[in-house]
Amino acid sequence: MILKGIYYSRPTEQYLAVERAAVAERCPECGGDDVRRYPAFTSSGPKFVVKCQRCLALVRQEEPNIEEAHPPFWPLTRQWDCTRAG
Amino acid sequence: MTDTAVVGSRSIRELSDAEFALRYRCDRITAEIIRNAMVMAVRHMTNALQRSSFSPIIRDQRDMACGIFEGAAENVDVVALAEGCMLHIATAPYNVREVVKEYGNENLRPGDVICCNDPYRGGNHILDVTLVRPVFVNGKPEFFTANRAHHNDMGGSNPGGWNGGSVSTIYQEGLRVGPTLLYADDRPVRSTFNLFLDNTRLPHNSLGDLRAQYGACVVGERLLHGLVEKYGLDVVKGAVEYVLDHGEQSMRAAIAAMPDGDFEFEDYLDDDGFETDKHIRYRCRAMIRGDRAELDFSGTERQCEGNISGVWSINASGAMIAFKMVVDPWTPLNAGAFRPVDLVFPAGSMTNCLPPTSHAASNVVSSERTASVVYGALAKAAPERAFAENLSSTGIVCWGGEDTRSGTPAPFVNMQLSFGSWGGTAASDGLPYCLSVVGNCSEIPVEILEIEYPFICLDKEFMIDTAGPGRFRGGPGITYTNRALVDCEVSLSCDRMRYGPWGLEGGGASLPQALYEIEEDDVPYRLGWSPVESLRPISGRFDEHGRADPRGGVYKTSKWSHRHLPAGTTLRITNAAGGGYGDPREREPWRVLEDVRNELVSREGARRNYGVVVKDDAWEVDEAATARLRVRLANDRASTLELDAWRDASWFETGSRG
Repeated sequence: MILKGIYYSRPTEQYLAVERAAVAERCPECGGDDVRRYPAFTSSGPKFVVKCQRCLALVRQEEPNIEEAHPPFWPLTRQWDCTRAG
Repeated sequence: MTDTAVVGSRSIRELSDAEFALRYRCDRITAEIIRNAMVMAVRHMTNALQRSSFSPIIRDQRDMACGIFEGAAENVDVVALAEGCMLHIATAPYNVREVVKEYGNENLRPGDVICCNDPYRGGNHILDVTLVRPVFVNGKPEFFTANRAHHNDMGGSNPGGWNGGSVSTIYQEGLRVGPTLLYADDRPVRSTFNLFLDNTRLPHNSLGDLRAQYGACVVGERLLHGLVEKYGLDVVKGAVEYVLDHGEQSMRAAIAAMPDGDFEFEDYLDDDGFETDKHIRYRCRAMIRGDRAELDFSGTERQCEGNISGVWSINASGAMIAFKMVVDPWTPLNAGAFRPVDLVFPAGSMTNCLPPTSHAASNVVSSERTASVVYGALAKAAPERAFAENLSSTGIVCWGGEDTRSGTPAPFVNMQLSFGSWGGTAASDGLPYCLSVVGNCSEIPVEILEIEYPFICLDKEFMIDTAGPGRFRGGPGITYTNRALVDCEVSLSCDRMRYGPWGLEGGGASLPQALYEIEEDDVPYRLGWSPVESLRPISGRFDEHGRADPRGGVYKTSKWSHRHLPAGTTLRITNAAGGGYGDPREREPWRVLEDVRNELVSREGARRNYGVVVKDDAWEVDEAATARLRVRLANDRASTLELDAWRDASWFETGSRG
């Protein structure tokens, strides 16, 4: 069962791996063609990174999103305007 | 300074004075003065928090950390940190950023303090409460002062919140609070205070601690205002950019000094307290490319039923602590040091558990093993920088109940941190008597413990023959024996009771930890041991006679809670030593002799594990016998290093086991 951002069941797979989706781009630094997009935790927090797998150059960084559950938790009130008390 | 690497096109060191001034809007001396002033400001915050807090866990154990942050919303970066609990220090950047982002810069006013204890918002566990205060300059929040501190109770079913083997969701653990206004215009918000104080067993302590945390934020704010007044906002901001660039360049230089490649390691947790016959795998692949690194934990086991799976931020903390400790241990930590390293945690794994999974004990379990696999992977990349495994389990024996000693019953919760030792390195023996690397807290002195809590401490000492043997051995194991003076409800959150900390480069593992109950009053204690006949095993690996058996035996879980112990019960925990580094038969004999004289290694242990013969009638090495023995042992490299895991009554009388 999944309520995205709030509730997830325990995965059934014994061991888990992050999928690195291939991106049809070349690395701007080394010219390598193995560029992939995947969720990561960077110095700026949870992000999606598009990186060269040969030299680890960052091609670009994308904001996290609830649809891909990265990070897992998203408060239900995330789009509310705050009052003085929060 | 180590700023020799290149960020962009030029390193800081390569800049001329004019270029430096153009880039950072101040000269080098001023930038360094401001950098150090910020670190000192954090130290003042830390002192203020320690001296004014009510709870021994903050005041004496220093389970807290303070920091100064700069920026707005998504871009909040930690600029200055100081000594404190490493888990708080390394998680703080994530937690403060999430708090500011969710609350919104535009909703903050001078004199506000926001609190949050939600692990899923970049935190640790619900017991760690973060306070964040905006520091306004010219009407804008330009900086934040923040601190995090462990509160001894946050409600939930078990005193202290360490619900090993009994809860699976965060809802069962206690109070969870997202970013919430705690002080408005420097006035306490009563409803928020009530939220905390109405839901803890220790409201008076929590009230004092929250006020102390607030005070520490104010101390930092005043010092920051002083800096801005003296140098101007633009210069201070410029110095902040320098601080972060310096941290980044230092880390990049250190990574660049590592060999490129992929380095993998895996390690295990004992169990989760539910499926007690099953260990739990962690795996890390450290990818090093030039001055960049990535740590990928794919291949790690799925999150467990018990409360030891970790949220991403606690594991990020464990991973970064380990990485920095091996790769760049000297430069002060700030957000810049995090920039060259990305972390990859599979969602739903032990390293990135999904809501609403419980994880109160992940601080002392999951983060430890995340750090372990990083140490292990980096040891393959640079064994000369590595160290054998430290105790790698901040074992928590948590006692709660009603203290009736004064005649006025009062609730108490004591989270007893268990100290052990660190592993040997390529250059030295492991440090003795420390908390695990990711912990870095202090210990409550016995005298304070016995005043604050209804216990007496019967014994606390190093254990002979427990350190992982090596050319540089691990630090020794440590034992604690405490007796409760009142009825208690006790929990245990521990690990390394099934497998001891590992050795490196031919060094041996150390003994696993164990917990016993002692039923008799008059039990001998000597060199950290008591006769096995007087110990009743509770947690660890034991044979059919109840003797610790690190290579076999039956494992009794190291995670449990809700155990009622009547007044007079005595518990003894034997904490892990550090693993050994290098072949112990290459250890210089004089070092072994010193260990024998210091009662860290017995004569028998010196012969068996080090091939060193110490004369029976003198404090001297028998060099001829040692040479012969080492030749014999060198021809038998397959012989395993073995530590005795128990002593019987005869050892106390004759010095050898019956």
